[in-house]
Amino acid sequence: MADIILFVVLLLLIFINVPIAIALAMAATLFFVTQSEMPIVAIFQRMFNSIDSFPLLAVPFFLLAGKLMESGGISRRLIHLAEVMLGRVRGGLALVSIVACAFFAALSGSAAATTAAVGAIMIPAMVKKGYDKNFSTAIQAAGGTIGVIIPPSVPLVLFGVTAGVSISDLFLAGIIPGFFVTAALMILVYVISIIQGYGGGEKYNLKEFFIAFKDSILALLMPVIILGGIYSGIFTATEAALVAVVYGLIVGVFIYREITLKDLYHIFSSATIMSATILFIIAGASIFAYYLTRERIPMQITEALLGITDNWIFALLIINVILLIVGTFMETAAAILILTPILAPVATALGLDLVHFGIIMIVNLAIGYITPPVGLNLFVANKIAGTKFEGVMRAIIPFIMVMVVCVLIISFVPALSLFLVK
Amino acid sequence: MVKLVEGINKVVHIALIALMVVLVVSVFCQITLRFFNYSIAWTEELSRYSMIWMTFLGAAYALAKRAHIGMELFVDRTEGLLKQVLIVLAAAVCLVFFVLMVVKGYELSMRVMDQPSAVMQVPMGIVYSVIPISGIILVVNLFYVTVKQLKGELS
Amino acid sequence: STSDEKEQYVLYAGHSLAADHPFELAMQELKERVEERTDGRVIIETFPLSQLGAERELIEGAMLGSVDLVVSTSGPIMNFVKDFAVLDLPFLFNDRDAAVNILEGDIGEDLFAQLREIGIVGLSWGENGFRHVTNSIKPVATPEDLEGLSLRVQENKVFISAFNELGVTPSPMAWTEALTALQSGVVDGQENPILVIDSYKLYDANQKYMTLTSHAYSSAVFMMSEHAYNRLPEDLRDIVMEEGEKIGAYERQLVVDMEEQALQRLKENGMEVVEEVDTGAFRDKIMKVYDSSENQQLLQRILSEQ
Ligand code: NA
Ligand code: NA
Repeated sequence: MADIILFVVLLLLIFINVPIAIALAMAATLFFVTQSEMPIVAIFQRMFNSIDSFPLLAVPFFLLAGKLMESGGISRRLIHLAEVMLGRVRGGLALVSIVACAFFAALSGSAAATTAAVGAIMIPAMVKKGYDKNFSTAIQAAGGTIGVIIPPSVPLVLFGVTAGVSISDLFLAGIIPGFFVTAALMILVYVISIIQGYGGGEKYNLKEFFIAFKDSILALLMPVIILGGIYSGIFTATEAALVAVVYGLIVGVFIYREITLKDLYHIFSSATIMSATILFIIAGASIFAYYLTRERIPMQITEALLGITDNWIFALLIINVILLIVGTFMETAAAILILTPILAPVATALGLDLVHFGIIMIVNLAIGYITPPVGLNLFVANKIAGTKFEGVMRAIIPFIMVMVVCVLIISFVPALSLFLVK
Repeated sequence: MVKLVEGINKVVHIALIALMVVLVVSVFCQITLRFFNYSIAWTEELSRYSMIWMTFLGAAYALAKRAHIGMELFVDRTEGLLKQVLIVLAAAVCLVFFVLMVVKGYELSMRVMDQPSAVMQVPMGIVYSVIPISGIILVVNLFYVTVKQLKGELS
Repeated sequence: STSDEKEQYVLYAGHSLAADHPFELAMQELKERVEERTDGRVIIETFPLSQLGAERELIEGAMLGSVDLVVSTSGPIMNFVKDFAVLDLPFLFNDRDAAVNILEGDIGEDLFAQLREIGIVGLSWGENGFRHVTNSIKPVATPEDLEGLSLRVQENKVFISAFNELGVTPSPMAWTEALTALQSGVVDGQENPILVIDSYKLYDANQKYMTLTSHAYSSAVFMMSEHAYNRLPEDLRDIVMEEGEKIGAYERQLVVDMEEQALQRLKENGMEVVEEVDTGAFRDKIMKVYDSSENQQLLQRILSEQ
């Protein structure tokens, strides 16, 4: 009973707009004080130690790298490449948007950054070519979710650290599902474009393709350097994030020369604040998780869930529904940090591979980026487009439906995630 | 008063960017030196503790900029007295936590002051002191932001 | 005072190793013995795998009173009681018996007395076994074979300088990071006790060669928070103390038995194990680190008692 009250208190605090990090910490603190003998100093000790982790450095680094790519002219070049590849097809620009998101996803660890980087260029371009504004906005919001499925990915890092799963394995496992979601979204925008009669007819020749390719070679090299460096043993997954930062700095400041000293200050500033707010949620969530662990609540939930059904397919469906609901209302990083300690034992009990489960969780929560009311990508895309929120909400529905189908297929076909992992 | 708060936040902001630079430089040194078969022990510890300082100080700064992730949806749809009550209620919850951070964080730092860190041998009390320090800044920023919110200067 | 018959006391027990490691098995045994002798009035809840925090945090937790029972290797304890650093010196003990004699004698008592000063009651001495080197490159029989290898080592000044003396590039890194670093070849090898090497299946992480260097005896301490000690009524406390004092020996025997099977398993999984090692040759190369030890008196005392 007390445990249910704990969750109710947490929800109440979140609803009255207490920052999530503090709501988590305060709810647990209340219970530690009233229900246990644990000294309060230990709460702050735990908070501190939960972020005393080298692998977590990947979070600030991947966020910083993403900001550098966004400002350094890399996204513009990638988009141009996608354009010469797909511009002549019907619905060309819509397809270009998705493909550019996938390109950018291989450089960036964040969904919002992917939406912002590609959307800032593509939304105005699409509107100019006669695409519906709400449709264009929805494409960018949905395409941005690929940013956290294709490695590198901040949410995958958070899952790996929380569940104790190898981050390099998770990165490998994200590649095929990332392409899979990309393909599904491409089919969707193609079909919609045909129905609506959008675009097509742009002419590009092979020469233009080679110029665009040459122009973006440095950007395309980056995922090769990051993933190649990790798997050939030059650096670890955490260090790869730093390599991405250095690469982004060199390309943006010295080669493309599109980042000035003043830009650099703003880039560092916004990456720092974004990292701090995410890591602070980790610290707050760790206190909440600490209470759950000591009371063995994840174990009780596992038993309860397995009490309903011991059929793993049905149990996995239930988990998917839980993840989708949580993702609808909660910010992704917070959701991962709260749910991983609860659901990872359930997944293990169901006989699921934790690497596969990590991908299931990330794709589910990626949908959360485009589901109102709390959909970060929708906010970002909306801000760029200057559209009315209500209109985008209608345009995003088919994207949500397609992604739900994707998540079910990824859930029940483990090979999609595990094929590349040895 | 407002000038003072803004001054504090400016200093914190500069410290934050400096910490991020420390992170980048120390991990960069670590990779580069290992590549040349040389290893230094302190980069790992320095980068971890810098990240922790960046997190706590950054959380304090983010409060002033209202950059914390929260659920604004419900409160945004309320008006008048109810909205004011909810704002004060949320602030009160935060205040309790921040005051605990100051008091208990100080107690924690003092209790581990004799204990050196594993590699750099910095007293852990100093490392932990970021908790009470950012607690104080959080309290200051909480008043700053809440007053603004109640006056309707912020949404 | 004696206890109120009805009141129940829950003790939270934590450590950083796996659920099948002797640390956990011994904690489970302690749980059974204590719960039986106290008629369930003292309950012990065990949490393996750093669920309540990693070793340094657990020791600090025992100090602060957030964790009641902890078993930790001696390495991280040196950050709280400096003299424990001596125990981590490579090649300090001639063999397991010598280590046990010394730790269970006056020297161990002195160290426990120092623990008591920071609010931790030492119960008994356990162990995590002797540490050995594995690598992915070549069989290592002599110190010269180690030269040029890069090894993941614990974040510990003594170890780092000892391996530097041996011509190794030591990389201190977190264990989670190390597992993938071994797999991808960021580092060539690592050093750990047999049970850890087996538990994490390091042969799957390219560790084809193992050398029984026995370069350090990983002693461990079963400890209780003074908060818990003071909270328990005397009669119950006596039972916990008595059983706690016995549990170290029980755990050490488990290590000995399980290491034998684990070594067998490592070989079956294709690890090439160099068992005959002239440890003296390794020892001679690292003697310098003995000079840098901060408590020469304790060091000489330990060396002279074997
Ligand atoms: Na990505
Ligand atoms: Na959502």
